[in-house]
Amino acid sequence: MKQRISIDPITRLEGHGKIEIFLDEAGNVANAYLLIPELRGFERFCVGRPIEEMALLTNRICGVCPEAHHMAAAKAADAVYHVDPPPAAKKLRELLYSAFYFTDHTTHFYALAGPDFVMGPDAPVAERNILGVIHKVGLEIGGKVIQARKYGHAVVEIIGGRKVHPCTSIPGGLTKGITEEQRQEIEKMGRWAIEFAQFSLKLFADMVLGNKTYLDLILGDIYTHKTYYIGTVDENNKVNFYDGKVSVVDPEGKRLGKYAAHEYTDWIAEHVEPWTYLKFPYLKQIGWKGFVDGKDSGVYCATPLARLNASDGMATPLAQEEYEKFYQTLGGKPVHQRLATHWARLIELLYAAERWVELATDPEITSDNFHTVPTEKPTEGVGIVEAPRGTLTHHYWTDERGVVTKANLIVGTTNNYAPISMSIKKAAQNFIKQGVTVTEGLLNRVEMAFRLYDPCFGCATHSLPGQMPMIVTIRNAQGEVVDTIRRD
Amino acid sequence: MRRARWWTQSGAIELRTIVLGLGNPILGDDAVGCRVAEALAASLRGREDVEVEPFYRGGIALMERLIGYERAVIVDSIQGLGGKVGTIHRLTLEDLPTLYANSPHDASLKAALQLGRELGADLPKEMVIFAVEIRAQLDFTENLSPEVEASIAPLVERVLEELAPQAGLA
Repeated sequence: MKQRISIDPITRLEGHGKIEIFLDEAGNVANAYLLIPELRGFERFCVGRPIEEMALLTNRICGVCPEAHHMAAAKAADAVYHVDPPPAAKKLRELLYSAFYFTDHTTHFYALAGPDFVMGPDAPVAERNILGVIHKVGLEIGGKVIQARKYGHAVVEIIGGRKVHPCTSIPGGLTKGITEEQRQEIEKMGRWAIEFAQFSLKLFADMVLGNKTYLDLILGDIYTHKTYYIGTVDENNKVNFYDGKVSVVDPEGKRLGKYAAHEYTDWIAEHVEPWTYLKFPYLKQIGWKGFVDGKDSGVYCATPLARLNASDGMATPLAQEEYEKFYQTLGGKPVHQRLATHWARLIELLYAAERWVELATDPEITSDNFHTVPTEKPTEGVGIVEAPRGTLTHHYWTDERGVVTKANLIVGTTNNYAPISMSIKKAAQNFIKQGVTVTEGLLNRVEMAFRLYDPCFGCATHSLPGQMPMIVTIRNAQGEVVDTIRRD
Repeated sequence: MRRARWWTQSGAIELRTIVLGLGNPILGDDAVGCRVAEALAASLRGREDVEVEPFYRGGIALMERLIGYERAVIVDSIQGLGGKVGTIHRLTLEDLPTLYANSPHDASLKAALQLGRELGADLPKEMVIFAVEIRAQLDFTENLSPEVEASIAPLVERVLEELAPQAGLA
């Protein structure tokens, strides 16, 4: 059947989801834009519904990280009701969230990042996928990836009540706790997860860091941007996915400050460009100076690499060792080489697994005190968590009955829209030049510039077959299309 | 690997067919798969060899959900295959695009199924996909367009025909 079939929702939005490259008179890249779809009206959709429904509703925005939306909405609902969940509830939520992180980062590394490094950027398209990776590294790796996902899903189901869309977080905590038997099961899976994360880091060290070509690619200038970084940290300024304050560091690694969830509007503003529906968040104090690097530009990045740069370390011992090795190898803090995000993601994978076991062995985790009944009148609240692909902010206003009157969401990838755009342009400028034929490998190197951000293009993608066609349109100085490359 | 079972008074029998309605229940016409799954649930009550449910994820997660079944019927929305909005297409796995991992998040379903098979997962030998043509969906709403709403009843019929004993599935 020669006919092209596009089923995925992102595919449906392909007119918006593409890269446009503009050449100058000499035939070099003048500009490159990533146009990504914005699914409209979600905030409006929330209005008129009870705040406690948000944790269930918002996880439908996205088939990729429903757990992140569930947690951000749950924390916002706590804030709306001015209620502080008991320690056991916070720990259970964080435990669920650690297992989710473990699953998400595993999938990204083996299904998406892996092919670029294990197979190589020039490998044939047909081999540059998870199958290519397991054929090269060993079939048993594939089994481990599936096992890792299975364990992650199991923890989400035990604590969250459902495998895909958790439903147990309510204002003030959770609807249920866990039994000692469940705790033991979770701990056992977590111990396996630590070993798997260590194995993944070793694989990365062997396959990527041990390969001079890849190391040069990582350390080179093509994928480097010197921007601000943000990420949530605990009271000791260690990376935390579930709770804490958002730390902001400048391109030299100096901490500009930390903000609590309810202070986000003092720190983050959004810039509008005429060529896209999506807004570009930037640091309010610094201001929007365009798509440029540097201390005077308010562009910031919120990714695994950003979280490491914005923190003083990892809160668990094995991840901390890797954190130190990371900065020693890459020449100190902060690391601006964006391809190092893949390594940072694996360090977070190890942290997620260690934190999973830490929480599973916490004496309070099986406590029956998992809910505080809200007693105050609901008003307004903000909830922030670190989604795997960036800081996720949910902000709701309600009437005195707790019915949402207004909502504002800044999702993970939105934070990174400006840096992704900059990375694509820089990669395009480096690889697409006058007289150079755009090959598959060169195109993939441009794709690598956005893949490292693990972007979430449509907070709705979930369906068959879960893919997005890559469309690159190259236009000459007159704006005429000179080449279109697409892969389905 | 998990094997799906259905417990009856006389013991456990293995479920042979899974029907998954894919979609986002709050993204307009994209929800059509979920709506068909809900409608089918009533029609299939009593069929112990068939399990039906809405499903919200693609790629590897979808492959994992299919483990343990002999046959799968998937209902989803589609855009770009041709025909008017509301047109129902019957497809097979061969009609789907490549193995290339070009999703920013996941493997394609084809790659995921091949991965599962290579790992020895017990995956359906047959897969039928019913896809409904929709317009590009950009707005969150629980309502379907009239054309897509009208496709639900015939879709339910098509799936039931597919599951009929004479089709060799009983």
